[in-house]
Amino acid sequence: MNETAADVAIVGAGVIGSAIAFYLTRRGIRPLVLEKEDPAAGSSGACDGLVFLQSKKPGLHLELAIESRRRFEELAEALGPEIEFRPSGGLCLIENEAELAALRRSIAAQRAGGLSVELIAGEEVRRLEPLVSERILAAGFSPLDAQVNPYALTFALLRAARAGGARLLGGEPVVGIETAAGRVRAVRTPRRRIAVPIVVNAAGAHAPEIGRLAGVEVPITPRRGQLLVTAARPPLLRHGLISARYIAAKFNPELARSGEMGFSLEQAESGNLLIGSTREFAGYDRRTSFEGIRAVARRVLPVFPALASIPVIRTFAGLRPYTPDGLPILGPVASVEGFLMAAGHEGDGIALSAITGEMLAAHIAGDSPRFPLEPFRLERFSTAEAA
Amino acid sequence: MSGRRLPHPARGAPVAIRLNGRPVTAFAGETVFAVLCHEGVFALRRGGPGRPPRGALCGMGVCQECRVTIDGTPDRRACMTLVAEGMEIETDGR
Amino acid sequence: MAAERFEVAIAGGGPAGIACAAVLAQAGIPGLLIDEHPRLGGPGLRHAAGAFSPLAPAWARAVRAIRSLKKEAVTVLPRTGLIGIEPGPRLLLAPEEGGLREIACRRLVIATGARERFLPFPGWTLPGVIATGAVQMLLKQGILPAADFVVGGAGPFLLAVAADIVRRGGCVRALANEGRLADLLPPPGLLAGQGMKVIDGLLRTLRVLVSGTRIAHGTRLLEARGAGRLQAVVTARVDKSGRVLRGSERVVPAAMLAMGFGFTANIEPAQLAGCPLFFEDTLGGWLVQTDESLRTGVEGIYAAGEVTGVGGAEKSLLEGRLAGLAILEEMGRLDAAGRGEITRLQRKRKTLLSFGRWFNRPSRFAAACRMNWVASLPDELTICRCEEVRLADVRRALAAGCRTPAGIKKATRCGMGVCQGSTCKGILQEVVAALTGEPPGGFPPPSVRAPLRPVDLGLLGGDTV
Repeated sequence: MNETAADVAIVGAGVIGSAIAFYLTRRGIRPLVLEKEDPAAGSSGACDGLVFLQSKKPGLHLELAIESRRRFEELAEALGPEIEFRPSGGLCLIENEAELAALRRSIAAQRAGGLSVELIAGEEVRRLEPLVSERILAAGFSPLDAQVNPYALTFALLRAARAGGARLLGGEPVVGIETAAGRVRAVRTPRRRIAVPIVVNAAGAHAPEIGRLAGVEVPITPRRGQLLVTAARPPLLRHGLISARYIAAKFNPELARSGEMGFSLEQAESGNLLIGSTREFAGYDRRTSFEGIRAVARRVLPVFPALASIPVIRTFAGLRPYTPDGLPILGPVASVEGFLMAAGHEGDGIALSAITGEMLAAHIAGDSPRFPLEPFRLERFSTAEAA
Repeated sequence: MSGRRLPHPARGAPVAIRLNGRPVTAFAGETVFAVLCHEGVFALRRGGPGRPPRGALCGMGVCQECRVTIDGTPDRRACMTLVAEGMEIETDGR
Repeated sequence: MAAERFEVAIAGGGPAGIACAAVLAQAGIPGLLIDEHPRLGGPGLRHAAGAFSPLAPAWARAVRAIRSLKKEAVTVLPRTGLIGIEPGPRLLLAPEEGGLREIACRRLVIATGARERFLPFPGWTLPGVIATGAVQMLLKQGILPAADFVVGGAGPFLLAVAADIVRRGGCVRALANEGRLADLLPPPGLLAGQGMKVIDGLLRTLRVLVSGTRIAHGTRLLEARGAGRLQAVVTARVDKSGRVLRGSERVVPAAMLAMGFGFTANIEPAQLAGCPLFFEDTLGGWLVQTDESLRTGVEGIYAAGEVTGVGGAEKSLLEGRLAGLAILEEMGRLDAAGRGEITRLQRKRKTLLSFGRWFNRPSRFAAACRMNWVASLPDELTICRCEEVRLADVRRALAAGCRTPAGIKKATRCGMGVCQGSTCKGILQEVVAALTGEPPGGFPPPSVRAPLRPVDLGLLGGDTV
């Protein structure tokens, strides 16, 4: 068995693990990133690129997202144009009076929470996005909503981290975490044992498996989202788009189950349109289904009828790491010293990657993070840890 | 530089079609791809704006390279479509 | 939106699908035969007309089978794309006339055939560079697309197509086979079981030789040149390890390059349906695993033809029949004679698999050759035609920590275009094998999802007809 050592081990080379590695190297700390397959092989490679603030719950969730969004310009500067970051602004489309009433309230709450967002009338919506159908009454518009290429972001973060001294071990699943006297001692893969005092669980939907290796119960459940990808087209859409229903379904599982799930829509820089998305509890099944992909198509067509003649060339499904309260699980775990959580971003991983990376890196370096970790700790759940 | 038709024991009846606005005589049973080859049209589309021209590759519907506009519908595979009377074919191999 | 029900559905109307349909029709089992193309027969037969060489009786049998298909017992759906397969099995179909159709069946036979395999070289995306099979199909339609050809790549199919071109009055200015002549010679055992095919092959070779065509073995397609379309092909000799022998380059003017590097099975529908796969390079790469009666690892699903191993029309006809008989046996509709035939077919199948291995081997790399081949390729070479991904991008992705074709697909978009990797999957597999030292079958194939072919968003969101 190969023996090695590290100061910090990060489990998972998705966007979260890569962001943490990136911010750590900026502080002169060189983590070892352990990835069971390839970078972005999980949810970070099976999502759309919306960096949306309008979809965040006012309160802690929205605050976290605003902080993260603030760092994207700087990240884009550091990582380069390959991440395809576009501060294009976003529209939350409203289809009926009930949604209009709900969105008025939610916009007020979001504004109170510091988000620049306003309600705009249907004609203004169609001026901004000519392909939107007449049935849209109004929309929330935020200039802060943005788009990025999620795979490119992950790879760029990882590349920059490695340039800064981080190491990546791909194809190495973590199969054991050794603890003694209540603290982390080492991490084991089939090929080697790594003596390390700090392990960051950035394994996304698979965070519970990693937690169990350390004797920690992690209440993350995979929530599948199926997306459609169309053939590339010249620019048709200028903003990121979601329906008000999409946000409602996010926070109300009943709505999602009944098929009233709304949609999300963006045009990537490559020209392909990405249309999402279901919200299903289907275990770790990453297949797409006739029912799912047809439901997504059915949801978006009434609002964007002009897209009917664009071919869908592929579909994929990603597993959102869902937590009971919709907030990620971040920071130290009381029962195992040195075991840190950084997972549970439920469909907001891309948007929250920057702030997550910074917070965890600050904590590991012994600084107090500019955004407190306390409210996101694992202990907030009543059945937090195994004995 | 076009192709030529060979003796064929079961050649179908002549079919009048138009290729990029030009009247062409094809024969029933021929694929659009075959007629395009006969007419010397190898470049069928652009790989993208400003990209070099592309033509058919696999001939069996898999590679998606032979896409042309047929009767106004874009992205029809020339190798998988048989000619029909009055068919309008447009290529974009400029 | 209830699905229509059929006892048996057959995906693919080539020789295997037709043979299976014929068995079922004879027994009065209502079956559904689906094919993407307007005509049945698969690429080998759909444009065939008239007499066949007595040395290729398999093809003639297949044509007779098509003609004799009892239309009353079999519903034939040409011009119908297979969009997806789900447990049931359930199929989602896209008929050319519009709409989507959902089919539920008790049994499904996947007989989706094979496609040509390509290996890239500078200029391979020029109009005028097309597959050997595509040229053959043009000739079958009675069209000679150019006066002067180069035929190149690797494997015995090159000789077959060169012979067809020459027979129909075209001129093959050069035939460049990267492999060795010795690889094309059939082993003695094969002669015993496959005599007709071998003689057919030899006669074709003679035809090519007699025409004065220069056949160059150990010779690689180095480059296709032209402005906007093919004008000339550069070939060069390679040594036994696949290294280009500088100074041996020849420039051959031609309007059309028929390139062929063997075949790979269209396993994607089976993969989507969850059928376990196995890898055997000399049978075409990734294939559908079956038992002796062609049952796959998924309840109710059979596989027949090239998808179980690329072996040509005779194997496909045999397996289509075998699958049909196996289904009848399962339904309790087979007598002792039928069971006896199953045993005979299972035995004969082994011979045809050997033929397949002999047929495919010359177009496959030995490990050292693969590495030297990749080493000779320029960084700007297009690997993924749909997304214009270059070899340099693939190298960069490997350096960025990707270790598998699936990971490289994420990092580079290779395989994310309209053809969904049909063209580049095999290429990427070879390139990654060469650059990592892993064998080509060492990585699981990238995942496959519906739609198997592009389908308009409006159709997907519409009702099933």
